[in-house]
Amino acid sequence: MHRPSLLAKRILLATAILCAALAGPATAEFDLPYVIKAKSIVIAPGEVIEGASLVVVDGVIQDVGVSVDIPKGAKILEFENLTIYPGLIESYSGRSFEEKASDDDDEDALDLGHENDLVQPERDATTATFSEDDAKKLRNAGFTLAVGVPNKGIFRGGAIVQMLGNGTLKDNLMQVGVVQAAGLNQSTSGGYPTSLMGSMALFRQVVADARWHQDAEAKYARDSAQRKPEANVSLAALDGVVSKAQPLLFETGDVTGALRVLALLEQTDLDGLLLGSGSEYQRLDEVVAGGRAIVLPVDFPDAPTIKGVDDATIADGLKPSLGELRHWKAAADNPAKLVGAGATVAFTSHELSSPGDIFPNLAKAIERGLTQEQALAGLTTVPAKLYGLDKIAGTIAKGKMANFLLAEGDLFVEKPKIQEIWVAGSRYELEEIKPPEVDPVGKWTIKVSADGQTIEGVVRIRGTIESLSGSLEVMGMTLPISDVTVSGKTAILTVDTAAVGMPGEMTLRMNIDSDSATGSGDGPMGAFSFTAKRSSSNPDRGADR
Amino acid sequence: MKCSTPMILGATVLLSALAVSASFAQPDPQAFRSGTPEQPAVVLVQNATVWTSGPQGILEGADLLVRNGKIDRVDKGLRAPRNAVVIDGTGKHVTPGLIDAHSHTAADGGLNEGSNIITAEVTIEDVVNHEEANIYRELAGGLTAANVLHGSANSIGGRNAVIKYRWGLSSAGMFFGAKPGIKFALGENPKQSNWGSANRYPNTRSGVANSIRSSFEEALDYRAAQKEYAEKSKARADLIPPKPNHQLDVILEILDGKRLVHSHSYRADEILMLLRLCEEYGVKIASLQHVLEGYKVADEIAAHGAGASTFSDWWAYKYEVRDAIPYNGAIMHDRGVVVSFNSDDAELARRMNLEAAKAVRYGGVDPAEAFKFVTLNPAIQLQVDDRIGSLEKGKDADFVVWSGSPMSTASVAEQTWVDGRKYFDREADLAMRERVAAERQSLIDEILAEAASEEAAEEDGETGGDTPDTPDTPDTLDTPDADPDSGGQATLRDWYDFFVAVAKGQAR
Repeated sequence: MHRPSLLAKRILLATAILCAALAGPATAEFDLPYVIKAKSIVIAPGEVIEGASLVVVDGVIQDVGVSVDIPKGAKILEFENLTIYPGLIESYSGRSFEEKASDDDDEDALDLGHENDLVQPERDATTATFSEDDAKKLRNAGFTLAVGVPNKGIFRGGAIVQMLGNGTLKDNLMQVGVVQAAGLNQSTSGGYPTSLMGSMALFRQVVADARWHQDAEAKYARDSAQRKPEANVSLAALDGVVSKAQPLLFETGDVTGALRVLALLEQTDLDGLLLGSGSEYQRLDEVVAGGRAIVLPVDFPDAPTIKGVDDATIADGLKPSLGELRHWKAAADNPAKLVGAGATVAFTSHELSSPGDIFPNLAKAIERGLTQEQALAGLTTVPAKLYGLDKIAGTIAKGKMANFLLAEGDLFVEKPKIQEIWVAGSRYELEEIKPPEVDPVGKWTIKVSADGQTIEGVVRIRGTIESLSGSLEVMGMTLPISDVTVSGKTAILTVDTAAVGMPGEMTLRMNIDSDSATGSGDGPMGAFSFTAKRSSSNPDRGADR
Repeated sequence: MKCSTPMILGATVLLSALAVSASFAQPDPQAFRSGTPEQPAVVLVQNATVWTSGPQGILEGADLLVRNGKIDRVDKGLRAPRNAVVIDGTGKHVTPGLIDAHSHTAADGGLNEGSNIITAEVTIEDVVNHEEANIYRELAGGLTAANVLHGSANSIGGRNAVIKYRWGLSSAGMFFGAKPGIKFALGENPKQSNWGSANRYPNTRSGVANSIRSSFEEALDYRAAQKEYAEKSKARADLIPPKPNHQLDVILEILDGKRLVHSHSYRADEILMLLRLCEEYGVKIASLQHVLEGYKVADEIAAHGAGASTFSDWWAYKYEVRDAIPYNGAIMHDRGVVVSFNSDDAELARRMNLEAAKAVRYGGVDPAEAFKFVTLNPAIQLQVDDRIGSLEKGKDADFVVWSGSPMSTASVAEQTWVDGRKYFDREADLAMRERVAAERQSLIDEILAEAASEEAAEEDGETGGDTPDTPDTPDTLDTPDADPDSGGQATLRDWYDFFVAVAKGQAR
């Protein structure tokens, strides 16, 4: 390829500018520098700057402080009531792999790895299941980065670090193999091992084999006049683990398991972090003396069911045990106790039914002695350090990724008011559902504009404000509306296009002013804007019934 | 730096001891909340009937003197040293702490690695569960040490754990340096031919014998390969070593006499098979477990030097034990075999003193000798008789104070001491039961009160009722402001493609 002439370059440049101008704000905004002024900016746990601004250029934090240089052409956003916090890091996002089909072809397939299915260190979480929607759930709770960790087996595979932006893993993947996931599972098919002690024995043997394999390969490279050691991709994949370049992230299950894992790591002389259980307080000194960092689920048990406690006809064994009752009472003390005893603790929403449940739980832990700063550190600086991300994430500082969130007031409260999450400079706005101020029921004629032309359609919204449903008719096709939510004067309609074989969903936001509305939407076809008029309060008027 | 296991164990014991003695002094049904009892410098039990299980036999009106966790003296008319903790033993009996040579108490996550016929690579030491309440319950029956064995699903099964009942410590603190061992098993359990699945080799008793022989041979080959490597690698530094094999490492320890074999066995023919097979390889069996037909081959067992750890009076629970008799223990004892009675069961392990009494009832064994079936003899079989098993100078102060004769069903253990620390005290236990019941009730009350206030709050919310119920949607929705991939506004072409796809989807 020859170099373009100066003239050609100029033409290219001019074309580029023209294109940018035509492309409209949606793409142009991403490239614009942003200056965000907020009530205060928590740049790191315990470090707050009041009345500060943040400058974001190309997805990176360019500057933060009370006075910043505003880049030319910057878009300025001002939030008088909001605080900016560093983007949260999810330290353990468990990932499973789709089961391999067990047909005959697979059995004949050449397996270059370990004979035991529980030992698959060679795989990594890039091939595990994780949808855009899973990412969105984490992001909506303020997480901007996640560590995806394979969650089954003994040597489970490499963990990945990913951003929690929209798009595929290709857009979001940052690191592969940041830790090797480990645990002490048994065979699910009745094979080896059937017992916990068997899993521990297999773990030790694999470590010894991996060390042998590394040594054998090195010796063969120096002296190849001998039988070549057999290829084994699993043992080769453990090179980093046995060289202590790749730590293990080891699931413990309970505090007894934690002591077991600590002993196992000592005996096998490996680096590792623990995936905690929440009962560490029971053997606090021993757990902390183990000297390993802990990724701790902030999950507390519900109160045991008390029904029947006074009923003499119910066997004691069926009633809540003293241990259960005590754990219910003591569980929320665990985070403060561990941190207070000097353990390095990162928090995770693992085990919670919704990632956002971590906030009320951390609020409870704060009532029991954890500080706000420790809670924030466990979701930002601590995991950043543990996973070697501290140069690019964990705090708000010049040169780091523009990962942050904006919230009104404190973060660690029952229901934090998170309003925006920024992932590498991409802005995701959350909107509070406000009490409904309009009633969207009726037949609406909508006009979608595309390329300066208009596509007409009909939206029918049925039911009462408590329970709405509807349909969208465009070009002779009827699509069911799976959800209608009214927030203030806006009706948010969700069309589940996956139901008709298109992955994803389509969203229409109607800003209603009596019988007319304007709005925007997005879906598999891209973003669009529309206007609408209510032609009847009867949604089924003119419908083919 | 690679830490040696004893160093880690030592550090852990020290830590837990410090931690708990500072915070809890009372016993508790949960180990982690139980304090490690203090160790008085001097303890003197006065004027009791002392069953020494040693050369002094049974002494009436005698005193037991303990210094710094060790037995100092058993004698009559000892004067209490200054600052001694003195226990009035009038009318009471004192025995060594009982030892169970075949226990399955406190193993977590499966007792059998049942997948293969040889599983020497696994060890119960990995899975001792220090939170197991049966440890405390058995202490209440005078038991102070146990041989926690792997199950009997394998001809050469997993390694065992010999532990002291130091209730409250984590498992690492329960080991006391006993010689390592391993479980073998013969007969129905390893061959499994009547278990409905015949997938696993072997399915016959001769196959069981051969699996043991094959394993020994494999281990010897493994050693030969290691020796050859050690020799050749002197001249050739980059020679690839043989692959490590943890299972065969353990088999070699057996062949080298560094690991005790405790073999589950019932029938006389198989007992003889194992003795002969092991003799061929120079291996001495430490104990035959169950050994219900041991009375038929007692002379051969004695000649081999194996101990016999049997049941007092269990029989007829399966076909291969149909020849079991309650005189088995007494007969083997009379023929010179070191005999113990074991529990194999966490409930029976709470009253091993009465098992000893059955050797008097069936076979007329002298009471002092019979009591050794649950004290000194299991200690000999486990090769820990230098530490525990009898009340002799220099041994660990593991002892029990009984309300009356330990061979009476009317007697209870009043105090159980391990290492000169009182781990069980009947009075403290009775107080604990009240304390725990009150604590339990107060937690229940708290939960009920919380539930009631939540219910009340909900009702308030309902009567307030102006605002409609929020639909069941997430609290927040998000809208990407600028998605770099979206490529801006949807074009007609985008819409056309969408319609085509939807039309196709609907046509399906």
